[in-house]
Amino acid sequence: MTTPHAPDDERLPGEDELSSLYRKLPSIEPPAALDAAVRRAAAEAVKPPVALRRRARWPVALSSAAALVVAAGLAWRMGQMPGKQDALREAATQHEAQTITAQEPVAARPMTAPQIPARIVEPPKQPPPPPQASTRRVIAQAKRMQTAPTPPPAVEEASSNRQLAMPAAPAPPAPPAPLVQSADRAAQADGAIEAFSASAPASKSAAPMPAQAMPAPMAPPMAEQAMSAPAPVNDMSFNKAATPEQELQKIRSLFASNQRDDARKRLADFHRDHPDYLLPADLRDQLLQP
Amino acid sequence: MDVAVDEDATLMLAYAQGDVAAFEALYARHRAKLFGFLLRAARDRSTAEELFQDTWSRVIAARVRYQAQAKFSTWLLQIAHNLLIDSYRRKRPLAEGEEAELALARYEIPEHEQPEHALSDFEHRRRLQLAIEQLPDEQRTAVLLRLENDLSLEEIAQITGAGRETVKSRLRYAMNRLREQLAE
Repeated sequence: MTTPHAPDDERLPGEDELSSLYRKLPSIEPPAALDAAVRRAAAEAVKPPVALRRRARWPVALSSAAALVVAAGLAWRMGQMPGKQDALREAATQHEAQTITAQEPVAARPMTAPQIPARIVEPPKQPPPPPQASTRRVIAQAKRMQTAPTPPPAVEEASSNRQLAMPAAPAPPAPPAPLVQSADRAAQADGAIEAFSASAPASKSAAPMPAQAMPAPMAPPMAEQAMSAPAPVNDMSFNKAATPEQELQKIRSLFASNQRDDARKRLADFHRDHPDYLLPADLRDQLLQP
Repeated sequence: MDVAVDEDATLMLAYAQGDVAAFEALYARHRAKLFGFLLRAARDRSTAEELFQDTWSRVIAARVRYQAQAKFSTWLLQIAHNLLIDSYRRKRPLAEGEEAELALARYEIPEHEQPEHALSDFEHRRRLQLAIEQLPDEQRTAVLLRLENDLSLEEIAQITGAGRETVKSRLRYAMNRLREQLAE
């Protein structure tokens, strides 16, 4: 820019005068901020790439370390919560019991029939789960729903039928001796069953039935459930994990096999362990006898 | 190329190799003339600052591609001129008359340079400044490149993309008009 005009470059008329006057105009400088911005841009454009690479690496390392800490913390917290896993396992067991109970009135009958194959009545390897809290709640609620003026035998029978139809109840075995039901009692039982579940069509058929009810063949899934159902009837020994219904069935079996002393002792123990459990009429009579 | 051109080209090539000090020296040489040209041509301070920064950004970005085949000042002014034409094409409202005078007032002659005995000279410079502002864009650009940067007709033609005779004609019209304004 400071180059003088070339020798052969012609000058225009009056140019020297204008040029002289123009040079007297004030020199215009760019603002300092503009200077700084341009110089900064020029310097940043030629920064060594190594520095840029180093700057780009540390956030990656930092985020990796942070992720590791978070993962370790989560793993430690999960290890500190075994109760939650137990709760999950318990919920799964309860769900399984409910699924089995829904098929129970049909599946339970073959177990009490004399024609049951031996492999079906064999005790399972794993003891059946104890009655769930929700099951007890349903039973107690059913008892409360039973009207007070109803004579005790009717209450017991209705309760017995209701227990068969309860969705969460374990498989209650049918009593060996058929009970005579009046029309009123059957109506009460139906009402109670409808109050609990719409899926209780087998409540009447689940009433005490002798072995002639057997001929209906079981569907394969039901047969599987019957095989895996808890509470083997032929095992008379006391099983701590047995449900109240299973224990009562065993007691009945003891009475039936003339082991009265043992049966009465087991019945007394049962009544002591389950004071709020409404005993069937036949067993209650046994308990009240001196 | 003369010695100065060689020095500019050498500095630019050194900057392309990462020598920031070379850019500092190059920038110090050309910053004032470039900014003066842009401010007087654009007649708007913010536009001139924007164009100034854009021009140097282009220089920085093109440092690797730079080849010393032409004068650095010609290359620099060519970039600035192209940006200036783009600015004209955007039809940004330019300062006119008193507004242009106010825009340039920030760069007015300092008070200590305005003694009573120099009032006539001061008035001449002020009139010249206003007369340049009122020239048509092409004539103003040509006369600024000639007076501010001492460029030859060929260099102005190269920068503006016009022919040599066209540049000569623009300069002749512009200078006649400036003289008329100063004579009033």
